[in-house]
Amino acid sequence: MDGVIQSLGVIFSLSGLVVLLIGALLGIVIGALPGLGPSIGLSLLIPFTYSMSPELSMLLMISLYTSAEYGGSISAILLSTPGTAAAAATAIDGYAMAQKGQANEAISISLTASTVGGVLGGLALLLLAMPLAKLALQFGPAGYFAVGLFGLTSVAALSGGSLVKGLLGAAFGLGLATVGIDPIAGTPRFTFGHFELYEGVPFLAALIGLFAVSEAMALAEKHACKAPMNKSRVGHVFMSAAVWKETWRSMLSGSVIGTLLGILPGVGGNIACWVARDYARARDPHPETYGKGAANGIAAPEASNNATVGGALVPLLSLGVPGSPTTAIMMGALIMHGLHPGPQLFAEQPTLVYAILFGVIIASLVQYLVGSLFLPIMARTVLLPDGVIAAGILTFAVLGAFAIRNLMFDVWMTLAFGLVGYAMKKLNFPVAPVILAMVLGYLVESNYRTALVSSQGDYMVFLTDPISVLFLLLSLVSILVPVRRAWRAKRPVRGGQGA
Amino acid sequence: MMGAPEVPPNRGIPFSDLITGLICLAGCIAFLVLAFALPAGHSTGDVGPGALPKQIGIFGIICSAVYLLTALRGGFAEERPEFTESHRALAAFAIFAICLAVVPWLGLAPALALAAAVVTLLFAGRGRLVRAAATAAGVWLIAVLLFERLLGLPLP
Repeated sequence: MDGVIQSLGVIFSLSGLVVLLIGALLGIVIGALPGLGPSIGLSLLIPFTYSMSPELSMLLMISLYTSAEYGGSISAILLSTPGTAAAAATAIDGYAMAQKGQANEAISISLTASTVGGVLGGLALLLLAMPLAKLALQFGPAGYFAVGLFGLTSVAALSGGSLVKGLLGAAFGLGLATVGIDPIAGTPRFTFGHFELYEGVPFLAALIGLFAVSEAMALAEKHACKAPMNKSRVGHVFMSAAVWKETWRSMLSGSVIGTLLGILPGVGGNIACWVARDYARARDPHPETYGKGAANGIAAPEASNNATVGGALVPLLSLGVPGSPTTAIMMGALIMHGLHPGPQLFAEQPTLVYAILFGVIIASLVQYLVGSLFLPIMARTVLLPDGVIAAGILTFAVLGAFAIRNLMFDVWMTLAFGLVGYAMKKLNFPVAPVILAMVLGYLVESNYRTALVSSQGDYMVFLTDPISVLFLLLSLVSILVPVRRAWRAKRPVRGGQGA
Repeated sequence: MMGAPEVPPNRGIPFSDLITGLICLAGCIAFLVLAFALPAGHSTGDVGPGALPKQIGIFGIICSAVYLLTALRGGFAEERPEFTESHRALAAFAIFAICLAVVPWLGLAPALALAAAVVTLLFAGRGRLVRAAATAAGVWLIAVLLFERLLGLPLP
């Protein structure tokens, strides 16, 4: 109970409210800028959180994460260009409404649905995280190894594109995670005499390079002018009672879908938004209005993508396994503060855990406040020239990389990762498995070796532990399902075609 | 009966995919060779610091081989990368890299301001010079006021 009271004290302190406000402002702007998203925003924000307490840094990150999910809908509605992948479904009906001169109404639905989704996702996190964490305390090293492996395989398989590219990305990330002093014997590995690599490849350098620098390079490729912004006046964003009555069911269903899909590793708002929209459309008595500016076509996907925030934090807090690149960045930030997310965190850092649990709900409410008050100003940011955005991202990337250890070595490493990230982007390799493998590498290797030490080198330890067996089977399923899907897609259809 | 035959996808040699596959394969083989040079474990049951890297290397080689085979069979034909505008991205990258190389003489904040200004000039549009100057000034202020003064970062 002390943890709850202390966490609420942190959230409602002046510094707590200020970081929530700053996070919401930055999140909406970053989300609204096409191409940028919560992952890039968080990777550029981490250097600013070094000097903060873990509680305040998590509040800042959660606020940015939540608000960026909503911010993506602003450019989706005004420019028909989703700011984030999770806002892609919103663009269809949102832009259609904007073309009818109802941009303000569309944004009001998006903001309200995002807030509802964020709050319900946060409530789900509050209810689910602790019981799951208690369960996770029963896991042994073999079980933890299998959980980490499942996180890796599912993200590699589900993060979009081909399975083999996802798995190669995971292998690359795991390889990077083995650089530095090994966790059991203390032997330096792959350091090539560079003392800078003894602590491993700096996670933040990889993060900033793969996400931010590569995105700045992708922006630099474009030289076309941005689409003209819809001329509708953007002012207040309060939803009328009639629209509330029309959309509350879609908000609710979207929130449930978003929360459940958010919990699954590798499935985030970019999938949840389409599932929620399809579900709302299937249950709507007027499905023909979808695509022509249906209010529910905005409410369902927006509620779902914000609900994934709470859902995605469930495995991170209860198991210590991030299910998305954004939560992997948050895990990296916690590690930089000397903390290891997982079930032990509930006993060791109750104030921090409750600050995160309540923070998701409060951040959603702050996002509503900021979104309502500052929308007319923030709507203009979507027109910032790409050149200025690219230069800005590269500047923050370089300064952020230098801030890691005050070493130019880290800056060069960030640029190298940027080049790798850009090549991956061009070749359609997903970046998420690399980041997740880097974060999970320590968990996977230390538990793998601890399990073998405890069993005197007997590999059967992984097949006698029921938790380990369960998650190893799930890992296998996560790989076999996309293989089967691809095989079925390529198999020629027998008969019936010309019938 | 099947209808009209489907138009085959782009059957050209997938050079970019082949080069990518070969780079991945070479990287994984090199990683495996380095992993074999790592010492064995000391305590009973410990598989040693080289065990996981060896497994990653072997796994990577298998994945690279599958990637190469898939590429040769045209499996990535639908997602063939487009590099026609990549020179602009590489130019932006090179500008920053060159400016960072002169940091020991120029200092980080002025080098970043210069790089930001030149990158902004790469983009078409009216008032490019003004925009570049404003971006440079903004970047210099961010580096000095936000990072050096507020965060106490000892900028070189």
